[in-house]
Amino acid sequence: MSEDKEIQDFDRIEKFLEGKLSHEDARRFEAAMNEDEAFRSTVEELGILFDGIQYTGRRAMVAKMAVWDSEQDIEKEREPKLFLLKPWYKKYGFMGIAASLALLMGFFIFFYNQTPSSEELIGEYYERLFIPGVTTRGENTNRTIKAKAQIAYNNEDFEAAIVGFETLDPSMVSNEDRVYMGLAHFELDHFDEAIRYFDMIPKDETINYGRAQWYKGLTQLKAERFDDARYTFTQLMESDSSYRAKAIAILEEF
Amino acid sequence: MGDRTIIESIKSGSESELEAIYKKHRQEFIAWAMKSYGCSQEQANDAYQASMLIFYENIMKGKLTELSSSVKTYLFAVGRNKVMEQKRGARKMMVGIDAHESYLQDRKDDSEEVEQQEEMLQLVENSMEELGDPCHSILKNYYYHKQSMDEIAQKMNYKNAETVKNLKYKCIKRLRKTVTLKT
Repeated sequence: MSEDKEIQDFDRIEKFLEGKLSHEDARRFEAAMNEDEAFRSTVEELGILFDGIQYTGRRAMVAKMAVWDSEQDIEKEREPKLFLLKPWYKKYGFMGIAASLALLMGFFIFFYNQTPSSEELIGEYYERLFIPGVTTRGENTNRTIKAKAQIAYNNEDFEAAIVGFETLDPSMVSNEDRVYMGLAHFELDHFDEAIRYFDMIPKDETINYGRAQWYKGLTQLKAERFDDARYTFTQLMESDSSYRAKAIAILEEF
Repeated sequence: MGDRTIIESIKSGSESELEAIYKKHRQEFIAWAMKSYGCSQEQANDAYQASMLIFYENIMKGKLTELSSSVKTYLFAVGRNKVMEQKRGARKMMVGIDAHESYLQDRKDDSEEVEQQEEMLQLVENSMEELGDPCHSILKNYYYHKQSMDEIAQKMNYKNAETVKNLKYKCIKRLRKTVTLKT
């Protein structure tokens, strides 16, 4: 049989299997199958092949969809979890919105209380030192200048206090004065200057050192340098300073 | 993009369009099917895939040229039927088996027959892999994706539809021979 005839016969079988023959042609085709077992066998074999090819195509499509699934699931994993609130909104309408807002407020209040701002912590833990026994006697001497600076400090005139302390002969400035200098800068938000003065206090001056470290930590907190503040308070916590208990307490809060 | 344009785009072979639709409705369908019919996530996903296959195949066969509702409604309706088939404990919802529905309708309920059919289908699939290209692509594009000879000729850079027709016949002969050797 020539190839053209073969292709012609194949086309006819294909049309039958695809249901594309006319009613009359299909009836004749079935009659031919009933008379010729070999022909019937060929038709059935080709039918299985066509089904198998479709099956192959479907399997490829399913494999493609599995890839899309995993891509989408990965994308979903990366989405912020807050998006999970969306179905509530859709499901419960206005009440869902109200409930979601209440929940968000709850979260906000919860975290607000759990992690106070640096400003709140300063408000809670900072107590400005008052300089006791200040005298103005002996004007125009170093002592007088120092006294004026101390008065200015006590009167919360921190700029005048700083100017006064800085004009003093360095030999007249005690470590206690340096703590006050640091606190004056702290009050004016001169964070680096404040820390510079607190760092001048040597470790062997136990009382002033502990005090200076405590205020250094508060300065770092006020400057929102939280890691630095945590480190300073941790060092203080591990010392014998009278500020140790305060350091432990504040470390629990941020 | 309107549904008619979407259908035309898929019919012309746009895989990205199909992917976009698939991803757009998948999560919602799974959540809906799990909640409404108490099926597992895997079952819901299988039903959605079956629904998407039917949507795709009906477009390619020319059975679906426009929708009276939206694509989403269509996918959910077909997917729901697939979930219900699972619920009724219908025979395994295997995507390849459905292809037999016109040819072996009367033998559908015989589980031994079904098992043999599955084996045969897998045998053909393996043989298709062995054939490789261009036969693999020509046969799949024609019999599964329902592309015309002209479309295949253009897509695969053949001279004309007649060339593809002759090649297709030769590929079928090779496939038949490969399968026969395996049985």
